[in-house]
Amino acid sequence: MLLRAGIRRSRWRSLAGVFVAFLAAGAVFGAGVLLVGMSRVAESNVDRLGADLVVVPPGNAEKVAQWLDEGKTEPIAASVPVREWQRRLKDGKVLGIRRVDGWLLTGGGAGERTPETASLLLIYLERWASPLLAVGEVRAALPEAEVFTAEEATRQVARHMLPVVQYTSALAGVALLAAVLLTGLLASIRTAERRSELGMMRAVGATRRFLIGLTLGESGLLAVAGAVGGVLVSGAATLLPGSYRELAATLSVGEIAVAAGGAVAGTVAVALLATLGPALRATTQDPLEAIRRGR
Amino acid sequence: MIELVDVSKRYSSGDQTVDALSGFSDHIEPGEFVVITGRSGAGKSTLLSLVGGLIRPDSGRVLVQGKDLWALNDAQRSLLRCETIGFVFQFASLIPTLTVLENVMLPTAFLPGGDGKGHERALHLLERVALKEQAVRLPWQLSGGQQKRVAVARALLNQPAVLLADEPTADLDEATEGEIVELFAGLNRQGTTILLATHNTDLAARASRHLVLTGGRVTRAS
Repeated sequence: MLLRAGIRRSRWRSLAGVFVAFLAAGAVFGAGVLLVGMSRVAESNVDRLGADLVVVPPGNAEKVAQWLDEGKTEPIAASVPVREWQRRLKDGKVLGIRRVDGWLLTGGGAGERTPETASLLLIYLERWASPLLAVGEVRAALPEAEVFTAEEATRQVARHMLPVVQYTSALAGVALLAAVLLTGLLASIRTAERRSELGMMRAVGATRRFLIGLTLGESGLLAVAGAVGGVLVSGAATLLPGSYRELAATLSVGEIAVAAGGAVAGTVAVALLATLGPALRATTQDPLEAIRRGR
Repeated sequence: MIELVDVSKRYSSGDQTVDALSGFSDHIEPGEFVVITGRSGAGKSTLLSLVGGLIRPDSGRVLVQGKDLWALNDAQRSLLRCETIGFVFQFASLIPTLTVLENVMLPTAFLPGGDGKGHERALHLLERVALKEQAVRLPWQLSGGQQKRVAVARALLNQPAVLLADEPTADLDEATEGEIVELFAGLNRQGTTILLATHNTDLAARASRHLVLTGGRVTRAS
């Protein structure tokens, strides 16, 4: 009864509290899905192909990075003579090569294997071979090409994605910081305008613990409502066609549930922490003075 | 019933200090009706806050029904307040989003395990203050005098042995003031101990004892 009464007491401020939690949880959940999805895509493109080294003609590193990044790219001209480069690698006595494939990306998209002229080469090493040792030998055999290990390719992709990652992380951080500040401010305002009521409740028998629980309970309830809404809307956005959907598809249902639960729990925890100060202040005031001043 | 032993309370603000109450001692018998008058800042509200265990004295002891209030923890003190002491304030301080009936029943929310008879008693009290028909209304729909009567009903819900009233008739017209004072007198006749703080010295005529406070000390008692 008192929780409901408190929330209805200042409807607009209660709605503001819900909205703040909605934005914070939605941003944190969305950012989490984006970041995990991007790292999965970066790994999977190289891992899926099972390649250890990627050999790229000069000037195409960016487009290849995009291909590794997103699994598709704009058309990359075929300029790699696959059989000749295979022979040069053999002549260069590069240790541990199991297989060399040409990969054609002239049509853009995900590409396809080709034995003739390719957009890039993928080199597969034996289990015992070290990519770090092999990369030097491949560079010596093919000095005109750019050569990446799968790890370097992932780092390349990470560098390429860095602005997006930074932007997304900053957005999530700003959303959480705003949630802390706004929730604390709203809690302070709501507690101040209920000074008289809280003083009255103290005078008629409410303990400090009860009043703190009441204030935290109101903030927590509003935060849960907003956070669940934010995660649901952000989750629904993953169903819309586009890059976000493709990135979200790399996560399992269980992982998305964990991300959602974490976003809600984090937002609620932030709301409770921000409310704690005003709640403690509300219980230490002189009740009769609070009733007089609160009028 | 209520005993104050050499109680002092001081307030500080910046480099200024005010002695709200200095070395105050008194013994209030069960069933007494004590009116406390004095100018603003004389210490009347401080005295009521101390008796109600809402603020801690800087020195001295406050005993209610033989219990030293500040030897109890917050939960024990709050329970004593809920069961034994009723408060009526200068402003009704009703919760605006609760109905009149819910406001009167509020003290039951603070009793451990609740109180199954709260609803029945609340309706009886509203009848007593002639507001039973307003039970489902919200506070803003009542006049100031009606709101004050709801506050009195709330104070009486747990059948307290002591009623503390801080300027209960301020802001009321003469007729309503008379109704409230008559209500208090009726309660006192039934055995409730009443401490009433007021600017209105005319109310002292209804009391069994009249204390005048000046600068935190009793300057006259009758």
